[in-house]
Amino acid sequence: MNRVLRTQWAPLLAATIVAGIVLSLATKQFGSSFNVYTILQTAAVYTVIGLSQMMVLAVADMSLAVGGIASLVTIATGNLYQVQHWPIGAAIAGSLALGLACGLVNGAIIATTKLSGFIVTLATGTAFTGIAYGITSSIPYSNIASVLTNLGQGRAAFFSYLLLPAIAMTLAVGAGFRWLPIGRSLLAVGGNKDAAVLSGLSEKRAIVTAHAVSGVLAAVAAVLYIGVLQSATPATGSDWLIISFAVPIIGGTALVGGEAPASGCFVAAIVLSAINDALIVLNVNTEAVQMAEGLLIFAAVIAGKLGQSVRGGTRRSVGRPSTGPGRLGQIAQDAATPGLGMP
Amino acid sequence: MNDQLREAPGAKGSIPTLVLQNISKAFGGVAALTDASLELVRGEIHALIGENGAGKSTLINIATGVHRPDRGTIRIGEQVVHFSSPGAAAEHGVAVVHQERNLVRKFSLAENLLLGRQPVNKGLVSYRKMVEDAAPWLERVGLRFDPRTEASQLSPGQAQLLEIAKALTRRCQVLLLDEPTSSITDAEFEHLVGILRELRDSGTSIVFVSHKLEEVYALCSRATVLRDGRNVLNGAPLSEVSQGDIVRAMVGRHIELFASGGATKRAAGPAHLELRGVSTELGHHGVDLTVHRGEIVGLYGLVGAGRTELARAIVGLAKITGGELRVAGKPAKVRNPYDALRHHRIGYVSEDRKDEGLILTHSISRNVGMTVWKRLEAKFGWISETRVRPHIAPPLQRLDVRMHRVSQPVGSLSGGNQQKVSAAKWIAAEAELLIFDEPTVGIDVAAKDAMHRLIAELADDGTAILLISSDLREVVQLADRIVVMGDFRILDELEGGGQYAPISERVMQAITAATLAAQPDEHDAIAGSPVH
Repeated sequence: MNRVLRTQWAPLLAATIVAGIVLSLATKQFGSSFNVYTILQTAAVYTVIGLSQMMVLAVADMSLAVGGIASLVTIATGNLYQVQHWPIGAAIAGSLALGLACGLVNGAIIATTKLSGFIVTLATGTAFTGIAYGITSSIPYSNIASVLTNLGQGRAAFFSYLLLPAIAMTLAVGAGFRWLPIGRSLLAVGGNKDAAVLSGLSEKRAIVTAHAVSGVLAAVAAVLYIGVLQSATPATGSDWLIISFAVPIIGGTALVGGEAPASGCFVAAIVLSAINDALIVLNVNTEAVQMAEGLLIFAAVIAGKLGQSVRGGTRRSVGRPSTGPGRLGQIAQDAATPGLGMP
Repeated sequence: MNDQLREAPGAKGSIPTLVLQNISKAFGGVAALTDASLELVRGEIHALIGENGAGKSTLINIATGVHRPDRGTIRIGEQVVHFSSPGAAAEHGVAVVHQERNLVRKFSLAENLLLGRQPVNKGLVSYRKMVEDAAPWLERVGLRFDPRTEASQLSPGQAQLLEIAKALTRRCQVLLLDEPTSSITDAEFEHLVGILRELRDSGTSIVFVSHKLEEVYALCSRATVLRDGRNVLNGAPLSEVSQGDIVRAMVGRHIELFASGGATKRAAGPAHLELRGVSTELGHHGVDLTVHRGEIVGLYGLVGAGRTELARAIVGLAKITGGELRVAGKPAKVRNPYDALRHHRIGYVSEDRKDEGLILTHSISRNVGMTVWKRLEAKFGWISETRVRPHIAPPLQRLDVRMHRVSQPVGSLSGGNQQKVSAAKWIAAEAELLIFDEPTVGIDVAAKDAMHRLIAELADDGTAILLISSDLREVVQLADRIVVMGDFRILDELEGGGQYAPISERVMQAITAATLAAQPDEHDAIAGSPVH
């Protein structure tokens, strides 16, 4: 419980729940079972998009290709099912493999050229989208498998079935970072590259893995979104860039790497989706919705910073780090932190 | 694979472990090491001493596989080895604890200790086993923390101990400590000493790099001193050499440099900078310092004395917490380096030219012009190369910067020329007080000479100069007045321009007296209690 309270997203979630209760009392619409279902349906997709970006942020890199991969994967799924007449299971498997391949390409280029992920994924992401439009000549596939539609549109009261895969992905990613040696390597490389490399971990391997898994997650998000949209269009992913960053950042992922709070992504996705929905319910125009999203990111980051300094987590040294803060400063610092146990 | 070697039996104190012999290494044509040697035997603590730029770091980097030597051999016991990477050195049982703390702050102590080798059960990381495995190693170095504590909770000294523990888990036989005491408290140092002695007694060879001679004498049995990349002392038993001998070995210079400096007395003008009883957040206390126009004040002290820190406080990079700072006779508050230059005409030529002085990928003209843009813009409303060039050409010429053209990136110049560009920037800025922080570290003799001439000429032209240097001969040659600093205090002040021998004697006395007088009265204040 304590750990939950200390997370960066706890105050946001609390604020959202309070606001949600107020709104549902004020308007009939917001609290309705159907509206909550809509919020959760969107949040499910947002979660997976956010996880995709968080994978890469964990190693202190970033990917602008999440949307591009989604666009290409969406088209692949539609094409394999509608044109090639693959069974839907095989089509989805093929699409996820394509997502993996796209991620591997990104990771391999970044690891070998040492170019920043920003530049590489800017290029590849644009290229992926271009290929998707090229294949379809901009015409969406409209014959969507019932499995996907049922998943995307299905609900039990307010519970969107899409939450199942979203929660599964959140748990899988969270567990991977916590329990798998490769997950720990990713965080070590993201947290302190030098320490990780000196300990015999491979930076390249971490970067390639992060991008590869990110590619798969982008593909999962794309497949889920086909069911929501009931159409496989190359336009999918075009507006995912901001969401992909907003979700992990609001969820408490540091841009400097070394952290990957998967549960934070899930909560942040719900918060974002709820706010979007509330603004629509309140008839606020679309531009204002975007502005609100921006402010929310800002607020989340500032809240995170404040939280850090309140908890005393940041130790700022003035001057060159190598010289340290000098004797007296040092003593003051030591008095404030747990000291050595002297034998 | 080297078990045989590790377990080689033998009386301690005589079995060679790591031997670096006649190592030479040059970077970009500048020799960092020339026939330098370091010979370790089993179960000893060996001091490696030298000024900044003497070649200690290069030697350590070669011993740990970061760099490869141009000439010379490395042996482990009798076997000649070639370290192709830090990993290869670690395989041979050579571990290093660097000044920069290499910890993953968000990970637990246990995980940092076993990073890359976390215990795995059925493919999953076993945190329980990790804690169990780590506990004895933490115990061994006296870190009484719960192994699950986050590494960000450690003080610098504790982080150091964690790194030593990490080296121990890798079963190292040779442990190199690069200035382990530069940022730890006295109590932590005492603790570290105990640990290192235990390790020594169990057969580990330890190289202890430090500038603090009292620590060296407290801990080490032999010393190797480097100066200008050569051995001055090679494994001399400390029982046979005095602190004075070591200091002389460290500081003495063979090369005769530009030798006018303080010899011709300058007429000092009015005071440009005055510090009266200044204390800073970095730990300075009661610092009085005056620098007049047309005067070179040498600020001498060993590394860690607080000289660079004082300079940073003067230009507003650290807070002044007490006393008064006056510029040109008036009380002044310097907010930041920009303010220092714009409003108080104080320029700081950083010691760290790569990180703080220059933007290596930018052209020479942009680097030098940086400080004058604001001024030129105020006059003309825009900045262009043609406006800037007339202002930057004279200092570049004056400093004889070897370049093809001013549009060339600074990174393509040699170290000495980079330092000249760094200085040219401040000359172009027409600062009235220039603080030179270790202006000649790591540059060749000719460049050093040019730099000395420049500093003298600037003072002749009426600029006030504060010269921070660990090179006493340089200070004696150039400075009109010498201020000796130690432990963030002013220890002594004397006239420059005299003979080297008596001045160096007095300076050394001041420093040794201060270190002897330093009381371990800090112990009680910091003892603290372990968590859990």
